[in-house]
Formats: sequence, C-alpha cells, structure tokens
Amino acid sequence: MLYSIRNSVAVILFFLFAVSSVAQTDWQRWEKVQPDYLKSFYPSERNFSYTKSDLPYLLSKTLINTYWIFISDLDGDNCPFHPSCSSFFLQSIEETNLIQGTLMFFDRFTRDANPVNREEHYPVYKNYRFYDPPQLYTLSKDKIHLIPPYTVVK
Amino acid sequence: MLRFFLTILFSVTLVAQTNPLKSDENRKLFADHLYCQQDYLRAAEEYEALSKMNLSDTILYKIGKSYSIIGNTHKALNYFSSIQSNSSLLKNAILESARIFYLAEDSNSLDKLVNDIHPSSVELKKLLIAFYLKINHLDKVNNDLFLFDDDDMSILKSLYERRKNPAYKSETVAGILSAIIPGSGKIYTENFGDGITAFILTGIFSYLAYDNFKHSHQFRAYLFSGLAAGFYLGNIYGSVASAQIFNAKVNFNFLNELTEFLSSKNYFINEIEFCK
Repeated sequence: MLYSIRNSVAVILFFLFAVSSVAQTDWQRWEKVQPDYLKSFYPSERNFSYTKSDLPYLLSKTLINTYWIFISDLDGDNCPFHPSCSSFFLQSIEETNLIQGTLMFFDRFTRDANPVNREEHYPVYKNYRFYDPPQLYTLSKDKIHLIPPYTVVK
Repeated sequence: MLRFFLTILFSVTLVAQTNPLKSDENRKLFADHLYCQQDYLRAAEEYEALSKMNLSDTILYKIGKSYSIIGNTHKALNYFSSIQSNSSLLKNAILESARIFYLAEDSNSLDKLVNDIHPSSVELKKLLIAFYLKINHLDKVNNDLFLFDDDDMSILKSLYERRKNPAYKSETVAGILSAIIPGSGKIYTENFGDGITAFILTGIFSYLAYDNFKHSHQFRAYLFSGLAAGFYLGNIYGSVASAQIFNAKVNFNFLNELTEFLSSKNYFINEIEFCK
C-alpha cells in the first residue's frame, strides 16, 4: 500500500516537474530582444530571361538587359517607382505594342522627372516606392483599377 | 464493491443527462452574452442549438444579423425570411435583406423586394435609388422614386445630379491642349507638376535639337530631336491617359461618398439595441 502511494506521488511529482519545466519556457516571450530599426529592404525584381520571341520584345528586352547590366547596376537601385522605369517600359510593350509602349515610357519618364507632390498621387509599394503600374495607362478603361494615394500595396 | 461502483456510475450518468448548464435558458443567456460581446459566430451557433420551440422572432433576427455581420449572407437571408409576417422585427429583417442585396449588387432580388413585395416602404426606395446610383443605371431612377421629401432624399437627389453630370475631363480636350502647348493637357487634368515637367523637358530637348542643327552637329541634333519628339508625343498620350484616370477618380470618389452616406445612415435601418 505504502509502496503504491509512493509510486503515485513520484508519478505526480514527475508530471508536475515536466509541466513546470514547459511553463518555464514562457519567459522566452518576454526576454530582452535587440530591436531592429532598419526598414526591410526589397530591391527591384529583375528577370533577365527572355519569355517571348517576337521582334519588338526581343529588341526592347535586349536594350533593357544591356541598360541593367552596364548602367543601372552601377548607378544603383534609385527609381522611385514600382515597377522601375525600365521594367515599366518592358511591361508596357508586353501589355500593348512597341509604339504605344514607347509613348507610355516617355510619359512615365516625365512623371519620374517631376519631384513635386508625388506622394499625393500614388499608392505605396512594399519597397517604399510609388506604385504606378502600366495597366493604368493603356487607354483601356476596364484596366484602370484605382488605388487611393498613401495606400500600401503588398 | 461492484454494486458501489455501479451506483456511482448510474448516478453520474443521471446527473449528466440533466446537466442544467446546457438547458435552453442557459444557452440563450450565454448566446445573448456572446452576441453582446460581438462574438457573432459563436452566438449564432448557440442560438441555433436552442430547441425549435424556443426560437422566437427576436432570436431568428439575431441569428440572421450575426450571419450577416460575419458575411455568411446565404444563411442570414434564410433566417431573415423565416421571421413571422406579424412580427415587429419584420421591417428590420426586410431592410437587412435589402442591405445584403445592395452589397452583393444583386439587382434582380433588390428590385423584386422593393417593387413587388414591399412597394410602400420609403427606406427600401431610398436604398434602391442609392443602388441605381452605385451601378450607374440612372435610367431606372424614375421621378416618382423622389416623391418623398426629407433630408435623405435631398442628399440622394444631389448625388443623382452629380452622377448624371459628373465633373469629368474630356480626353480629347486634354490631348489637343497638350498638342498645342506641351504639358497643358496634364494641367487641365489637374496634374500640375507633371504638366510643368513635360513642358520643361520638351522645351529643353527641342532647344538642344535646334541649337545642334544650327551648329551642324548632325548626330546630336537628330538624337535630341528624337527625344523631344518622344516627350512631345508621350505627353499627348499621357494627357489622354491622365484624363481617363481623372474620370476614374471622379467615379471612385463618388462611390466612396455614397458608401459613407449609406454607412452614416446605417442603410436606412433603425438598429435595435439588444445589449443595454
């Protein structure tokens, strides 16, 4: 009888100890951590591969790849827009055609050159750039999906 | 010993069978508490667990309301439609159903509810006008819909006028203006910074082209001519696109204002205070 009681107490104590040990790990949630005040960095995505075989695309993609390798990589990831102006050019041509895409690019470059009150016009992409997709400028009203300024686009 | 265990087992089973915690009365109290805590999914489940004889119109309405808030509109509509026709909650249930149809843009159901089933309800008529304004079917807004004269109707009338004559900018005018003076089309569409920038860029590259032609620097002259032409044509194109975006913004702001108005009026539903 005494032996069985002792065993029961041992088992209870063992479980109590195990539970207490697990409970003790709770302190990890409240431990001191080193705060990180840096913003997360999202570089512009670049895809150098060719996905189409039509001539306008091949020409423009080669031009942009050359620009990325020889100029942009050295100059830095500085475009304040997402997609960047070079990516916008490519996407515009993919979305429309070479002539319309080129006109869209010149228009985008004008917007890029304007430093005034941009934050009042554009939503913000996750990498803290102004979100300005080519779909807004294809002259197809169905493709215009307006996002209010200051909205963060993921 | 065996008899003792059996007795205990039997009595425990008996007690379990008559567990007062799960009585309808307690369930209802608990569901009421959950409802007031805005825990709508659990509240609806607790109400649904009540026996059918205890499902009053108030409880049916609260279940419908809970599902409506959660977004389970199919179940909500089922519960709202099961409310008795002589109930004081019927009017609210109908308006709640109308709100669901409005938000789901279910034109047929809303139209049928307002014109066929409850043609005398002023609140439903107001919601129907708002709905036609939302989907821009102004031809369906008859003058007889504006028969009632109150504050809501005057706001709806002004919204109707704005929808009928929106402050759009003409894409053609924007394009022509930019063709005459680079950047003026953008200024017309209220993108002042972009307009001025377009004017400066086109001006600078045109001047550079002119100057290089003048001094017989052919390559540079043609290069700058190409850039000037690009900025000039791109600006005309961009002005047309800018007018389109401006018009999209007008629509966007209108719909926002309409939604804000309806939200402030709670979609013309007099909310019943169940939690005091």
